Amino acid sequence: MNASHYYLEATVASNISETSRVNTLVLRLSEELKIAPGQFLMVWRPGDGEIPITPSLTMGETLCLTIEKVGFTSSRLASLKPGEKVFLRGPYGNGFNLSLPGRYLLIGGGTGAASLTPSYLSLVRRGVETLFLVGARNRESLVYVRRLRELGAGFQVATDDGSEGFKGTLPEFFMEVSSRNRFENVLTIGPERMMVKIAEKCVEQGVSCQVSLVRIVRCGLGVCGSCVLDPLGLRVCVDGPVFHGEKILGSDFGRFMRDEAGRRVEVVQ
Amino acid sequence: MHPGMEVEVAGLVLRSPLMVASGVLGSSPSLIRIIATNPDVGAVVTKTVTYLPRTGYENPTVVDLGYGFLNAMGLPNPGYSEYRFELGSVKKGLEIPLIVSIGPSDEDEAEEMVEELDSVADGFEVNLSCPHVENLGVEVGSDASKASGIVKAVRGSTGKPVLAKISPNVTDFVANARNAVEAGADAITAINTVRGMAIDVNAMRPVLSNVYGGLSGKAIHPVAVRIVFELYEKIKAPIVGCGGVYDWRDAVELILAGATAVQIGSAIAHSQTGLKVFNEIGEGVRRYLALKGFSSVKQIIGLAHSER
Repeated sequence: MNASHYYLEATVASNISETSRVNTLVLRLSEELKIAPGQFLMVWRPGDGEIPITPSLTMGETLCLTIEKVGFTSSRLASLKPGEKVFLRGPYGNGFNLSLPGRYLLIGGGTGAASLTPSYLSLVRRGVETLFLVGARNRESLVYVRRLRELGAGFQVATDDGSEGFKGTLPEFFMEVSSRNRFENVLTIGPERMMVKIAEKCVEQGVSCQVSLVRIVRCGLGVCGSCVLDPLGLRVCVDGPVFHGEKILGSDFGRFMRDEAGRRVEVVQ
Repeated sequence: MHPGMEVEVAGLVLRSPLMVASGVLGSSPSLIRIIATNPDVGAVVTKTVTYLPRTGYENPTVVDLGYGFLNAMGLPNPGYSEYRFELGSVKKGLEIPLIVSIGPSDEDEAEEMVEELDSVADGFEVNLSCPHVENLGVEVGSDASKASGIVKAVRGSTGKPVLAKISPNVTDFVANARNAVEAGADAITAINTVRGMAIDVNAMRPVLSNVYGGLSGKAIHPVAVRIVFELYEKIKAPIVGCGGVYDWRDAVELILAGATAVQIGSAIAHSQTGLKVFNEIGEGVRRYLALKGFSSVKQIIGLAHSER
């Protein structure tokens, strides 16, 4: 980022409703932003707060943020209108390692489908054999599939209730797909308990698995300790947000996180 | 281990004069345990814990200025009783002293907190100086009778060393330090962050949600040196220097000014090597001592005053 100011200015070009809870902001940046797939930005709107978001598309001066209305700040950001501004700092953290040899299977649950899209596009552009699985509870909750179709992406859908594609959860779909195909690498973003199941299966099968975690990020700089993964002492903002599954299985991954007061609380999803 | 690095602060024997400052690396027990395995870390000061849980302020809470950080976290912490439980798991087998930073708002809170935390602490640092939280920190610290009451309550509730962390954001920091020592503090930690703020020129708004914050890091190092230097001449208690220590020179400077030990915070985040910054600083201090012909870091404490 330009060191002469704290934040990069971005203007909302359009706001696309994905589901009743999820919107995608298409932003025009005041200057180009270099960000690797899987890295995150701190997105600030004065008065509304600041949260970490992994972009769902980056192309020159266009950036997409797919946002689920979880709390106050995300709900405000997801409701912005064309012409309104947000301010960005970053990129932060380590993205996905996309240069490991072999074929890739990408598994995106909920908004994870959107956050994995830059990784998918980067792999496909390089001619790497890649399969993309996206999933949600039902057809109405599927995120980003319209954009993926526009981008000409090849992907397969799973819904818990079978209203579209495979009937079942993404870990179930993953087992089904991997019984027919062999992959050397799995990348996943989604609810943490889903990622735990996928990471466990990858360990069993000897497949490399990279997962992306969400925690309460305050500084984004590795100083404040609010995003620490215990008992490993890994800071999600600088040591992550992407981790190799086998390195964090058995830790608080999928089980505990810290709330805003630093209390250890259960991961709900 | 390096015997020449050993110092003693208020009865605490530290294997290295370098301590982790309060507020960095948060409340995580696993981080404290990892930090403690570093031979160049002499003690860890925890994040400040308050009587009740605090969620802290809305983001943005930290601005990276390159030459320092501006922060107004708002003292987020799980409250002392939950924190005691977490620290209990850390304390077992910990090789270095664990100094618990506390931010009570009055004497009753101080007494209750210290009694409860005493079993997991090797010492206490009383935060009389957080610059950005109402009714806590510097608001308490600049009220002489209140500060004195709190330090007395802490003193009366523990036999362990008590450090008082003072603020640079006052007219008479010497009076505040003296007040804390008279109330029973064994040592003074100087300094906490310096009040400041940042405005984003694109957003045209203050960056921190709390508007005002505290500046730490390289930018405040000369302020810390000056305050430690003056305190060394005016109070008898040992001083723990804190403020913008990024390399061995910064650490030696504070020790020459009169600090018995030195705390490091912002540099951990700004250093490319993270916690290895302690080893780099430790090695630098040892090289300096050898070069100047000293066998112990104790021999250089306050040496900058000897010509006066």
